[in-house]
Amino acid sequence: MRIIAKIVGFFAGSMLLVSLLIFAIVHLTPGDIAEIHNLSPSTAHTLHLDRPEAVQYVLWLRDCLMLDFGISMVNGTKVSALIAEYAPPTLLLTFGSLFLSLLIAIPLGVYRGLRPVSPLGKFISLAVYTLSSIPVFVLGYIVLAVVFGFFHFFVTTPPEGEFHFWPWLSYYSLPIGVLAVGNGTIGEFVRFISLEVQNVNGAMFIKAARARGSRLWKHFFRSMILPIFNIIVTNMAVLLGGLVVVERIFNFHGLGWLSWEATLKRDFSVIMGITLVMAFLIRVFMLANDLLAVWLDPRMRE
Amino acid sequence: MKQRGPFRLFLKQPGGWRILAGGVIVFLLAMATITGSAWTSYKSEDLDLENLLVPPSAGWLKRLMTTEEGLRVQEQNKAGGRGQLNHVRPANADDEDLGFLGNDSAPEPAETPKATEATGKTHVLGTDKNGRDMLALLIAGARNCFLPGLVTCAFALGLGVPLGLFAGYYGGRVRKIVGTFNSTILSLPRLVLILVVICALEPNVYYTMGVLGATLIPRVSELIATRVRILSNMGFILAAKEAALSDFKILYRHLFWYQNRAVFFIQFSLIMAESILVETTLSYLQFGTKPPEVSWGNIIEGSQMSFFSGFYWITFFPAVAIILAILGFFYLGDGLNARLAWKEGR
Repeated sequence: MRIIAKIVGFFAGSMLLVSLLIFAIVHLTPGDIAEIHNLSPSTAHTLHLDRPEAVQYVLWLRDCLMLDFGISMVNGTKVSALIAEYAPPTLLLTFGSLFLSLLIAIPLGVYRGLRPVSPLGKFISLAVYTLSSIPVFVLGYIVLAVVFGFFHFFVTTPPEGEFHFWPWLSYYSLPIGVLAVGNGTIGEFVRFISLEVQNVNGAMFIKAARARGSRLWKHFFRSMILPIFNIIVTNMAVLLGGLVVVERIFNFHGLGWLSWEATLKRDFSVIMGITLVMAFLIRVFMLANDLLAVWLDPRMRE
Repeated sequence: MKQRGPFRLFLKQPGGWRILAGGVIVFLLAMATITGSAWTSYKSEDLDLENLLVPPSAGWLKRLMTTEEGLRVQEQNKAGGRGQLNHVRPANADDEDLGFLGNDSAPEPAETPKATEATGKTHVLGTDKNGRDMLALLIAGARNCFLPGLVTCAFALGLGVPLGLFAGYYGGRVRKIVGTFNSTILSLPRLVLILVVICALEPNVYYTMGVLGATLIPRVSELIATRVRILSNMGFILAAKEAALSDFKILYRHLFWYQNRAVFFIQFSLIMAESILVETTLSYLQFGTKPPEVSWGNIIEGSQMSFFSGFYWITFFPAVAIILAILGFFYLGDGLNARLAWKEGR
């Protein structure tokens, strides 16, 4: 119980630090925010811009805890409403590409871990590293060129109205595929999983299981859950960063696109809100990772 | 038995091929950065208005990827381009020479390509829609991704290495503080943090690259800290402590320079790859290098649709340059890493 309290406390503390960092970057840099956007006094008052900086931070934090991220400085819409509108497709994109990259990376990683020096294993590592060091926007551009140039097939408007499988799939599959394959995630996954498989494969308990003649995959599975979850968590930030680019290329209206546009218009409250939400998502994953580790590994409970 | 030369031996050792391939690319990139467009026939800021959207001069490059539809569009554009020029020329002539040239500006466009051929200047990789030479643009772009990369490395290594050394050597509270700093930075997506900074400050590549360097501090410092933690319990460090060497000397000479300089150079190479990736991405998103300045990312951004309309060379060559540059630094770092692991394990 104490360890759980400690983990949750660490989560809260780090969220506080992250919010302080975001606030400091935006507010402690030269230039008066109200002047940049020519805000009316009433708008400035709603965003607490007429108070001293320390008070602003406390008020902003209080509002954020109540899921109110202020109003957009450009057109006055509520940021929380914007995020609620743009978040669902982004979540689908994120988790879809995470799932797809795991689907590709786990078999490759396991094969490479079991046969590290075989020609196919070497080829896998070379191909995967090369593929994953292509920048997302170049990869997306190539994919668009191929799909459009050879198949004359180009979908960038989100499907509206009722749910139809094919338009829906054609809209989501390209960004999900590009985000899953590019962005460096798949290379990291394969590298990490193959190292972990190599370690487990050499471990004594696998040797003992092999000697007993029992099924090996059960032992592999149990010892691979934690590392795989771990690598997902550490790559979550990279994945969310890649969103900005992918959504820009494919004109996909989600949080990444919103943050790109907010930066273009210097809409501080929107970008602060999005960053905080993303940091929260990543931190929740880290929290889940820690709790899972405590739950699965009794050695962590001390 | 045939005696193996040192070069063959080098290639045989782990990471040899990767170091060679990466090293060649990095060398070329560095040369392009240093010389700039001194040796090309056109400069990156030259606007060759007679030759807009000219395909690469070599025939095989011309045919490489241009579909029939693309060729048709090219022909159309050639006609259109000439027409435009005719339109522009007399206006200029009137302004300057007040009808001195009279009507003889009409045959001029037909002469000008010959004139450029006579001087022996060709556009090896073609020109873009403003008549800028692609080769000169690529070289100018190399400079604009190499120099910001050095800024990133200065931040990431200049702050990450000392933090890692302190955290690994002193442990305890120092390690906790560094760990808190690292976990705070790691819980923000890198690109989004950079966007926040761009939003707050005037967009400038060098600020942005500084921030990128700051986001890479956790990686460097954790790597160094784990190595130093193991090393600082070993005999030679205990002996150095007994010999009353100052902490500074132990940290910088014995722990860093003698033990971790290979890690430093490997990280330098990997961080360069990362920073080229981020710089080109940001330029693509219009937040990095701004248009009069050239970056591989903003060449692609500025001519998004050219690939689909038959002018493949405008986006194809920058894309290849980006991929090669990143792969070069990546292979160099990876190969050196494999070599280091092999040497330490031997």
